[in-house]
Amino acid sequence: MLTKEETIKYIQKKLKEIIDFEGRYPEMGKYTESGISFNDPKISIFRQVNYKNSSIVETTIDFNPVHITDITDGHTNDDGTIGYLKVKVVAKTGMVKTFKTESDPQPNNFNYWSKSTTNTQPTELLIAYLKSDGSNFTKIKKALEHLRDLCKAEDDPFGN
Amino acid sequence: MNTNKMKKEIFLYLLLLTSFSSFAQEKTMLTKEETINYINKKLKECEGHFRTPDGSAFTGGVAKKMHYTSLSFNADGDRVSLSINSSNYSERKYTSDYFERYTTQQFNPSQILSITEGASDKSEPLGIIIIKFISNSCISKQNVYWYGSDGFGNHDGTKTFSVKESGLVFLSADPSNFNKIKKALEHLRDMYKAGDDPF
Repeated sequence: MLTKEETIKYIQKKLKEIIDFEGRYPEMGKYTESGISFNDPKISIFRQVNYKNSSIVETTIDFNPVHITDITDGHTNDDGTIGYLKVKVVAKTGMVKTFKTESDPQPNNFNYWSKSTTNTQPTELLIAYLKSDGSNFTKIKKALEHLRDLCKAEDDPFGN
Repeated sequence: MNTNKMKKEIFLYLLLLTSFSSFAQEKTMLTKEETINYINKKLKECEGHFRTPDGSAFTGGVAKKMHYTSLSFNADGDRVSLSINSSNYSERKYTSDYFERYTTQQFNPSQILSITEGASDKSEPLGIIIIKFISNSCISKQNVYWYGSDGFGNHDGTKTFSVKESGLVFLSADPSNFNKIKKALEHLRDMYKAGDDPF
């Protein structure tokens, strides 16, 4: 069985697979960043996508793996390249930060670029993964569940 | 009945009992350092989340919802040090209604009198644990910063108080957290008390 560090490394490898692929919606360009970092006790899953209108969207999802309650596949019935794992967490424990940079109104004039940040706390967190490899959903799901179980075992000295 | 067999059974039973009780004890037998690390980890769960403090701690019509940017709990000589950095907007603003607050509270856990859950808005992710001390034995240092439209920071000096109460924010969205942190603080108090009393 993998250790916590090894499991995070494995998830990192899997998440990086989406880099250079186009997002699943027509307005999306390519993913330029994707990965995971560990800031005990939470993990941060991040991705960056360049939109076709030149805006850049960075998304960071923060949560403690012990709060995972369910993991399902967001898009089971299509043959898209990119899919989303729907990670359900205990209400109000997860956090999604979106940082958007838009070129407005003159293209390539950096002085006119506007930036905006949005923070939300959804119960369902969406993690982009390479769906075209049919086995990836199950692999990442298993890895996240294993990470949750490892973190839960560590989290118990004052439990009950 | 065979006496030897009975002896063997009693021996096995006792062995099993001993191993169970030592397993149960092991759960809370963390050292000072491990317990401090555990509480530190629990505080880290709050980073990025927000809480609206009860009462009128901030006046003048500014936003009261506090966003917690970084929190830590460390050993500090004979005391422990609780550091909490927060701001009243999730992003830095260069207007007069924005501020950042940096608070450090130092106390000796042996001085803890009670640990209770403070009133909180249950729709928010964070709650607060009120730690009361014997007399005003907790040192609280507070710095408040704000920024002008020129981007320069302003600071009105470090304010130091001796207080008998400390507020420790925690992720109340996980309902098991209050009891875990309370137990950890009690365990820490007991260890500091034991070490604090040579005579």
